[in-house]
Amino acid sequence: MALESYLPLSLKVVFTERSRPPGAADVWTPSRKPPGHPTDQGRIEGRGLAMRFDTKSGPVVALDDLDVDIRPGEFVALLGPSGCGKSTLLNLIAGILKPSSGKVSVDGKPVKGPNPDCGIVFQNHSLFPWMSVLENVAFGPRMLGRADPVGTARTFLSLVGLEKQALAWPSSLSGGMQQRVGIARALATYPPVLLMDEPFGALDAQTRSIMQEELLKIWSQFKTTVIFVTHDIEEAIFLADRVVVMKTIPGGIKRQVPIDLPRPREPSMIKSELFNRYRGEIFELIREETLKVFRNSD
Amino acid sequence: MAKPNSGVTAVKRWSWALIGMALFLLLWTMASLRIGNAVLLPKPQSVLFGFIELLRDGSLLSDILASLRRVIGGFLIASAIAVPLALLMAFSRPVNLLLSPIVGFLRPIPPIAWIPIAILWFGIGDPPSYFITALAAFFPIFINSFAGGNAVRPEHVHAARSLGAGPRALFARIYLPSAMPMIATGLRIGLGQSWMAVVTAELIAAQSGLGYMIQANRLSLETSLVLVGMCTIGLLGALMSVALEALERHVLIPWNQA
Repeated sequence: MALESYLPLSLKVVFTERSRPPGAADVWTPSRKPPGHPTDQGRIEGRGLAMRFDTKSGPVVALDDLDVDIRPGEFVALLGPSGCGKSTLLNLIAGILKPSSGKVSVDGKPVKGPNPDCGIVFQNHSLFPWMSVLENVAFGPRMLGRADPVGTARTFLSLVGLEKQALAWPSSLSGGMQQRVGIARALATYPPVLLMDEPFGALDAQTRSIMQEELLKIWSQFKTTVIFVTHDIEEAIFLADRVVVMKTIPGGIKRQVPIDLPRPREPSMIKSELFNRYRGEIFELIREETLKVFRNSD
Repeated sequence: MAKPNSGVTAVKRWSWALIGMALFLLLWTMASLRIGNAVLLPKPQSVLFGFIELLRDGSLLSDILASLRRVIGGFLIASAIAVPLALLMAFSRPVNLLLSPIVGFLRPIPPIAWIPIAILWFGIGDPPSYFITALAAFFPIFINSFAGGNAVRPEHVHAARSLGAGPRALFARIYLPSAMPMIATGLRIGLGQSWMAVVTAELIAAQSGLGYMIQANRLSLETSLVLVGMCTIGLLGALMSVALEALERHVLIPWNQA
């Protein structure tokens, strides 16, 4: 199975031991690829994407004739002021919204609705409150008919350090813990693409920076394609291979900034000169956009 | 979540409740002494003696069972129709448009106004009582279940679909539990309404049950037995409410404990 190659070696040992039911030995064949090797899955292509909403004050162009190309395993941050269409773009790729015109495909398959090719992590309140933490994570593998969904769920919970909370209700967890469960749940189906809509937006600054490091650690193991929506400049630079700065009126891409900071990323890099240069450059780009909206609304 | 001092507050709550009940009985005794007429207001102890007497001869138990059977029967009939219908109405726009005016028109008619027609249709006895208790429970269950059906969060639907859920799983594992807190509220209110309605129905359209017993004892001026009936109704109603709350907490919506 191609999905297998997402598993790092250390994780795979645990995974096979716990999850292989008797008589299902052929389900999880050992991968020949080295652990964490990027696969050729998770390519996103968008052509001529446009999104118009009709509002009481007339039509609003959220996105205008946009092309998107994201290579497998890339970490892309969508950054911009509110109203720039970054969440709209994410929702188009997720299949939550249908574009007014244009096409999106993941690995050549046209996106027709939310589907298991794209795992989604929302800002908050997306865990199913009527399921235990464990059942939330097991939901995806269960729906897809995978072997031993509960064992898989336990593995992913330990990946985000929450194996002790397995039987708790989501509402009894802190916001940061809930987001970790959300990430575990989205990853448990081994999606080629992970879409994250301001996943740390509701967390306090300290929790947030720890979550960013954790996310990078997990991503370096799985090498899924990640699209990460945020309005936090430092978060975008710290996480991404490429920061896509979005513009408003009409919505679209203002500029793309490749981030050449080495990996693994360390928190100390935030003080580096290169990081500062990116921050300055992107700050100016976003300021222009924010001012445009500000003046326009006067 | 249990607070560290919840044991203390429970003791406090019970003490206050007992003091309240004692105060109530004291006022009742004083009032009955002042009035001095057992037909108008008997003393609490004569109600207690009446209670024991009716328990001994078994008539109270058979009246309780008759009323309970009607309430539970009507309540189950109402739940079985109201919950699926309300969910169907919440998920299907045509059904919604079709049923909304009918519901809006039938809902303001109080159950008691249905009693004459229930007697005409079903005669005297169990059938009209089932009809009335079901009718009384129906609208609270229906209205709340409908609101519950509309309470599903789009994030949950999107997340479930991105995790591979098909239409069937979406309904059973996302829509239904999303609606469950409101359905449970509807069931609780519906059961209460049904219990109130059974007494009304039995006052007029039955030959057994607590309502009939109250009516019969009024005619023979046995006021203390009328009060036995009333107290039994209050007690059982409170017990059913507590039981349903426990069912909610442990079975229907165990995740919903703030």
